[in-house]
Amino acid sequence: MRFTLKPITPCDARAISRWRYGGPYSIYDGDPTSVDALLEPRLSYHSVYDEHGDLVGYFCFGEDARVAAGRRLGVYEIEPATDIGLGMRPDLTGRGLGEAFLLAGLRFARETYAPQAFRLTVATFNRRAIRVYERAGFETVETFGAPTPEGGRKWLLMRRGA
Amino acid sequence: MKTLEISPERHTGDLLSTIGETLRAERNERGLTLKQVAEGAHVSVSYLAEIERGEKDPSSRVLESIASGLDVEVSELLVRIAAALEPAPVVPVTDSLAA
Repeated sequence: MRFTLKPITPCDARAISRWRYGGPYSIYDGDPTSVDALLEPRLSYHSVYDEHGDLVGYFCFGEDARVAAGRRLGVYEIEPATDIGLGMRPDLTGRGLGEAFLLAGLRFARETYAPQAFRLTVATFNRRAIRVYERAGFETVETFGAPTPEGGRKWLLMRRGA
Repeated sequence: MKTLEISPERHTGDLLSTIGETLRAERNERGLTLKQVAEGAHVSVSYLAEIERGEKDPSSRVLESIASGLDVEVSELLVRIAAALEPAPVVPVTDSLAA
């Protein structure tokens, strides 16, 4: 599959807001209320399309890829980097497409933002995503948060060179 | 003889919508998006949005999670919710005693 990134459109934002992930990944479910945020220019949301022009996921660069607990701890100020947030269409997850998808986003960000490094914040329960990030060359530089009995609210801060 | 005025029973929806409005106000003041708070609270954007709209009743544990997603103390949040609730109508005690 070949992935292309373009600035998000209102139509894509509405579609993404209706995506539903099953099981533990349902914490990534969208909501119509968040359409405005997806379209906010400062949050830099981009749609990802396949070679047929179908919407297959999204990326955001910067602010919306961070969590408040990390901001308070100052983990985003230690070194300059572009924060990456991403999501694939639910029916495409778990099929081994993640790495190519992520690399397409990194290529786009490199050309668009000329970052010094890439950084992402991922919940520790999400082993599936962490494996993809590791394969793409990300390394854990920080662990923060307090785990809940359900395993939530603990994050890895991962980083790789641009 | 005076009739004791009994205030109409409060709608449970009042508390729910106050919780939701307070959470949304707190989030907006901090310039956080639904995604940021939801991710920090380890709840879905859809669930958080429903709570903010007063459609879902968050458990104390979920409220704690959301407080941590907002990066505020849950006690601060509860104080703010309490302050936002309209004061209960005052029953004129002296009058009713006199009657």
